[in-house]
Amino acid sequence: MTLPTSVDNLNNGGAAPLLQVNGLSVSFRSEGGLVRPVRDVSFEIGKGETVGLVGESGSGKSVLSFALMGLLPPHNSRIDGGEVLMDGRDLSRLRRRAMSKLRGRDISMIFQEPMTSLNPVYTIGNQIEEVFRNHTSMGKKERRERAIDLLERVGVPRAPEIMASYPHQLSGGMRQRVMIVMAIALKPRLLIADEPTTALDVTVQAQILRLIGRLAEEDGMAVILISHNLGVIARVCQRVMVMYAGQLVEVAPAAELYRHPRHPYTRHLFECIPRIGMGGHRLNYIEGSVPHPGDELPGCRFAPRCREADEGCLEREPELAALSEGRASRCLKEGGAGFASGD
Amino acid sequence: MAKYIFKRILQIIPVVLGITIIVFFLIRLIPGDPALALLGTDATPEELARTRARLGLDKSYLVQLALYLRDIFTLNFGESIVQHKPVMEIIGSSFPATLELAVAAIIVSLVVAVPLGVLSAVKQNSWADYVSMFFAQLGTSMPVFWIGLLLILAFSLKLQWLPSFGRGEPLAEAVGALFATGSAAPLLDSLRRLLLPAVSLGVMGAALISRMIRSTMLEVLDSDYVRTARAKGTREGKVVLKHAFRNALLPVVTTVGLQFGSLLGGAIVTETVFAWPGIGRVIVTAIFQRDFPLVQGGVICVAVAFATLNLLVDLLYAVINPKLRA
Repeated sequence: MTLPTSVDNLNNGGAAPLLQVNGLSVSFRSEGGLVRPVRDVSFEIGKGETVGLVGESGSGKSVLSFALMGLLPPHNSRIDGGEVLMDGRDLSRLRRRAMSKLRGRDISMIFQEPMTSLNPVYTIGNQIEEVFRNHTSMGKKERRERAIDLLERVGVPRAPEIMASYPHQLSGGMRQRVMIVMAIALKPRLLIADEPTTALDVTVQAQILRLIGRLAEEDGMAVILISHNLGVIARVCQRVMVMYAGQLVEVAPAAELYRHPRHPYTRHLFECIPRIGMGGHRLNYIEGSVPHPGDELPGCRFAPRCREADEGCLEREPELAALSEGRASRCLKEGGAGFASGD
Repeated sequence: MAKYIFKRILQIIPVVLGITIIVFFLIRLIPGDPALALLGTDATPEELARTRARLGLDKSYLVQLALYLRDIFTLNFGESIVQHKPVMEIIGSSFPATLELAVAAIIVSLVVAVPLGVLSAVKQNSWADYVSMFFAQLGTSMPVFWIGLLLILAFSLKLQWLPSFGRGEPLAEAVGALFATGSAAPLLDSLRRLLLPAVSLGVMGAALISRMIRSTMLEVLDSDYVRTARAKGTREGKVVLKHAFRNALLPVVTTVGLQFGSLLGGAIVTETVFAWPGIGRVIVTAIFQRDFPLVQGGVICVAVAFATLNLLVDLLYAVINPKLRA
């Protein structure tokens, strides 16, 4: 399949992008056979840009981010095709050693579960300093000072004391701050935040989001913020990518997406957000569920759940087609050219 | 921490007391009479009665128990009926032999199990994994005495590299001799004699422990914090050894502790096959000879050793896992 050339310029300007993903596909071997959680995904991230990646559970967001980080489990998964370009290098083809030199230095990641993402048997200080040990030649004293500075920068009180404590002695919010410190310690150019606030209290969620936004701005760091929560994305991101069943289905500047979603799936998602003052209205939901990543459908992968679908949608697979500057949608009804399967 | 250790040491006392009482009654409940065992079936009833009185066995069980407990509080374990030597002396010479063998066997187990277990977890489903787990399966299925016999056949009889039975100088003394006289010969002899029994005892442990390490390593390697370590750019070797292995150690320590504990009870079969003068053989012989004081003393010694070992395992847990330090 050739890449739709029309989406080549979906980034925020004409400047050379920081990260360029072209036709990336990932497959997993599972007991039920081969599944494809990420299918032919292409996008660009500009320098210092904050981009949201939205989708339901099982849409392939996390697998996509692990693929970018080179963290897919090697024994049962692989990148089937496509490339992940950064500085002209294809990260998906880097050797393990070379990739681990990039991780934590140029690309970092924060995970969903702060409670289990820190190693229970080492002190916080040890784990933060490890980033410096991995990538710099800093001395012991300097590592410690830098770690304390960073903890203070993300608003951790009594930083020297926290350095000596173990993960189980900290709250979820504190642990996520420690994760953030490890991720930003070396001012990476790209931070992938995979549902960084999902496991936290609502009040802490806002703090963590503001923190990530502030750090990104101060350090000129690009961020891919992954969430199933459109509200979270709206607060922070300039641009949004909507993912469904392994594919990007809509890409748009955040403000435009909220004002005028073009893909039916995005519209469905907005209807599912509860609002204060809805009165006695029932909250909407999308009927059915995300197709299993192993399911191969001849037509649009959202068609079986789509209110607006007709017979054509079940037969022809739409492309992600540019609608206007910086906007694209994968829907036949929105002018997506489409092609019959097997073409 | 000190308070915790003190509390745990205090807890050992009721355990040992309970075991003492149980052994005391058990050995008296099984049929057989020390006097008869001592004098043989030709003895007259008068002789038997006199011997029983001399041994204090004519008193009621409760009186005997009270007297025994009084004695052991002053660390007097009595005298062996058969060997006419203080029980403490017999245990003092046989328990170190068992300890030496047990430590050597555990070392053999760990030296084999740690690399095999880690390797097969890291290279899951590779040929290295299949080969190691095949040997682990084999190791758990082979009876210890049979491994011992095979080793003797191969290394003592065929190749004539190693002696087939007996213990050399106690290791501590052999090391002492090395420093005192500069002669390494006793130490080498002791180690050569230790090798075959230690290996045949260690095989089973190696098999159990390597399977344990494999499964806990697999679990830990899949954990969120290992992913975090990789995301920080930690090299894979360090991810495995620093981040995964230390966490995988916890359940392994339990298994090693249990394995070691069962070896302390005396590996009777191995001690018999290799004519190793350990406490297992002492206790079994004493049971057949109805040597009440020696059986009691031997079992108490093993119980104290086991309880101490459990304490050490718990302390080791706290060292490995900071959550348990309070």
